[in-house]
Amino acid sequence: MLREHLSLIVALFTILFTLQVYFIIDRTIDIYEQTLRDNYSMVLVSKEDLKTDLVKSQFKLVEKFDPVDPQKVIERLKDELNKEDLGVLRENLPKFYRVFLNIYPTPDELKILKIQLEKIDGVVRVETYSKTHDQIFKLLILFKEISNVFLLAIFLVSALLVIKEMRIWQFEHVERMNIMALFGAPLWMRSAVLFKVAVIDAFISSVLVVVSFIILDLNGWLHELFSMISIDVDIFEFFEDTVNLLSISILISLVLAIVTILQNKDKNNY
Amino acid sequence: MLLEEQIVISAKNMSLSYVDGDPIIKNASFQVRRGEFVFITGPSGSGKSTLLKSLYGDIKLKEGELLVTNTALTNLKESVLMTLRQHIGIVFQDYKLIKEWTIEKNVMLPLLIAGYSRRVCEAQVDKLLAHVDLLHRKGKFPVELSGGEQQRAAMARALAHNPMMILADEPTGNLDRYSSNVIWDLLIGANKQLQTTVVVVTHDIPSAINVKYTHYTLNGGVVMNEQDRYNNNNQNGKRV
Repeated sequence: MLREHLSLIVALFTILFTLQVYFIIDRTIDIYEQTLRDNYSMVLVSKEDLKTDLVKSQFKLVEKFDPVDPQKVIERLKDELNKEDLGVLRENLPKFYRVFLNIYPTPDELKILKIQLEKIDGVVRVETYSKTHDQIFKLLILFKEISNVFLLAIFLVSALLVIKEMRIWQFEHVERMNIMALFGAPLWMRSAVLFKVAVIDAFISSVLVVVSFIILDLNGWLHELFSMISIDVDIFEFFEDTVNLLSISILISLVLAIVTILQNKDKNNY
Repeated sequence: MLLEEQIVISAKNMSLSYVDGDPIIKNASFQVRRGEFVFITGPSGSGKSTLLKSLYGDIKLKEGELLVTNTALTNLKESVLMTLRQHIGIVFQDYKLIKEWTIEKNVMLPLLIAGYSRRVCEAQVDKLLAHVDLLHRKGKFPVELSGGEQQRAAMARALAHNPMMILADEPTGNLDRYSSNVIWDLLIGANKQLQTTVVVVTHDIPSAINVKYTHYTLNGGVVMNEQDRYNNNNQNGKRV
């Protein structure tokens, strides 16, 4: 009896545990991308004053468009220049603007945006720091690719585990269902036992994974690891992750049950 | 019409085979009446079990007609087949007990299918298990019982819902004398007291069996009534 439950619980636990690890990695990459986006800005140099609201409305990617106060530069040069020269400098100094974006752009998006910003009247230069941006962007893409490969691996491992489980179920449950059919049990009655096992096992395996990640979350070891790379990620979001894990495990178990039932139905078709 | 005149099994020119192979049963025609006790004997591999399987719809007919309790076993819907099986009790040579269920639940199976309440089921199961001397073992699982005990439990299951007909495939093969006697007593009891039709497939008919029976033999895929054969030995040997 226990063995009958254990094989599905172990398979589901493996799938759900790996999926939760994927959720954490995905969340980490999202936070990393968000941090990059928040820290990244371009500098725009213009001969004339630009209306910040107008620029923001013209460029959808622009989140913030803030003028840079030239006073700091002038303050630094105060000791080296006399008052008159400082006045001339203040008169002739171009206007600097810091441009923040609402996404972390791809190198192509960045190039297009640069060209469009340069077309604004009075703009003499747009500095995108593209070399640094490209390097960081490539690293982000690498993380995302690794995460996608990981997801594919999860999918393959899950598929293999589910196929293996299907064979076990065919062996374990089809025999019982066939005996019940020999005594005239209707399909719903033969299937009821199977659905019961499927839902109970899905529930148990989800609870085990939830408990495992709550322990990991409380333990602090993973948080320390993430704080080393200055990322504060939620290891386990109780409501969202529990619902996700439970739904996935119920879905897998029900697919298993339905496949097994259909095979049994074929056998009893006269 | 008297009960014993009712035809419960009627086969006409019936042929049976697995997939597209040669027929195992060829052109068989026979009838079984309500309350009849029937033995089907024959050498190993002659198709006795296949013939029995056809009676509860576990194998499709290749040709001909087969009516069981007025239900034609051709192009049957699953729901009709299941309803038919609810009126039959089957005893298998390999017992076919559900290994993850207790003996009590196994015996209860036909009653649960029929929709009886738990209380009625338990009372009926206790009575039957007492009959087969297994009441003290009702909480055990099949694997914890001997072959003889398992077959007695299977016999109790076949009788649980008071079926119209019992089909038994080698019910006493390899059993100890005590278990064999219990099985035969129950089959004969059901036949005599409840007018249950009994069809038994076996190698040998017990010599001391105390019941009036019809005997069919199977040889080379041909079903033959022994009485007819006896009568026809002096004439021309008519096959049925």
